[in-house]
Amino acid sequence: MFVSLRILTLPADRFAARDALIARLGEAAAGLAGVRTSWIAPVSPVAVINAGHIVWRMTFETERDALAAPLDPTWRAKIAPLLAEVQLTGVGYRVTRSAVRQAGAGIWRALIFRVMPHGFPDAARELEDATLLFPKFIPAIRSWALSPVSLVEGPKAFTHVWEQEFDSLQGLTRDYMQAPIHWGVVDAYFDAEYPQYIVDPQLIQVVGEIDRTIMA
Amino acid sequence: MTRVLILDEIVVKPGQAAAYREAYRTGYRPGAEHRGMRLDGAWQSPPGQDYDELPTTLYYLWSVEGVDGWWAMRMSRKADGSDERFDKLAWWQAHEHLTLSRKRSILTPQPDA
Repeated sequence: MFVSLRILTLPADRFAARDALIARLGEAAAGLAGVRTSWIAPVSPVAVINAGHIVWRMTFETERDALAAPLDPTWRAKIAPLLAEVQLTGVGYRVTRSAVRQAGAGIWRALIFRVMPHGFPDAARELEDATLLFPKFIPAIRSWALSPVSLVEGPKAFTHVWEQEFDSLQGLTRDYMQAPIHWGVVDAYFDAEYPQYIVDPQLIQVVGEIDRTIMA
Repeated sequence: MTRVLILDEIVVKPGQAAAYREAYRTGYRPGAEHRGMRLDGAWQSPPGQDYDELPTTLYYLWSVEGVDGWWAMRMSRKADGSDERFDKLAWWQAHEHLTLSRKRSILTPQPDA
C-alpha cells in the first residue's frame, strides 16, 4: 500500500471556508482513478506542530498510481482549482512496518520528520528501532506505522512518517507523552541538547479525528 | 512526584577543563535553571586537580520535577515566545571544540533499590 499524505495550509481569507473545501475535495477525490481510500479532515486545533488546516490521506495500491493521481482529468478539472493559493506539503510513502487494528472513533496522529544527513545510516536506524518499541510500551497506541518517505511535495525533504491511532486525544497527550520510552529514550534523537540529535526541528505533528480506523 | 535526573558527562580536551567549567557555569547554567533544571552536583575525574596533559571528564547532575518538569524544560520558550531549542543547540555547538566527547543520560531511581 502506498500513501499520499498532504497537509493543506489556507490563506487567512479562505480559512472560514475550510469545511466547505473539505467537502468539495472529498467529493472530487471519489472520482479519482486508482484511489483505494481517501480521508480528509480538519486538523486538530491542539497537540499539533506546523500542521496547517486540512489533512488529506489517500492510499493507492502502488506508487505509480499515486504519481498518476494529479494527472487524472478529475484532479485537473475539479481538485487543482480548489487548491489554488493553498500551500501544500506532501509526503508519499510505502507502508512497510505497521500493525493496524480495526477500531472505532478516535484520533489519528502523524509525526512527519527529516533525519538530517549526518544521521544516516547508523543513527537513523537506531532511531527507527527505538521508535518501534513505542507500541509495546504504550498500549494506548492501537494502530501504528513507521514508513520511509519516497516522495516529497514542498521545500522540506522529509524522510520518515510515524503514524498512530488512539481511542482519544488523551492517548497522545497523556500516555504517549508520559511514557519513559518516549522522554527517556527516543526523544534524545529530537532534542538539540543531546549528542544523538539528528532530527530536523522543523517537523510536522498532525492530528485529526477519525470515526474508525483509517490506516487499514 | 519523583525527580528526574539528567547527567551530563563531558570529556574535555587536555588543558581546557577550567575554560569549559567557566563557560558551563556562566553560559549554560543560568539558562538551564531558568528552564527548571536544578544542579544537584558537579564532579570531575581525574580528581583533585586539573592536568594540562590529560583529558578531564566533567560530570553535572541536574534534576527536574517529574516528567512534566522534564517536558517543560524540553519545550522551553524564550521571553518572546519563540522556540529556545536553537539557542540550546548553539551553546553546545559553540563549545564542542573544547571537548572530545559527551553524553547525556536521563536517570530515575531503581525500582527495587
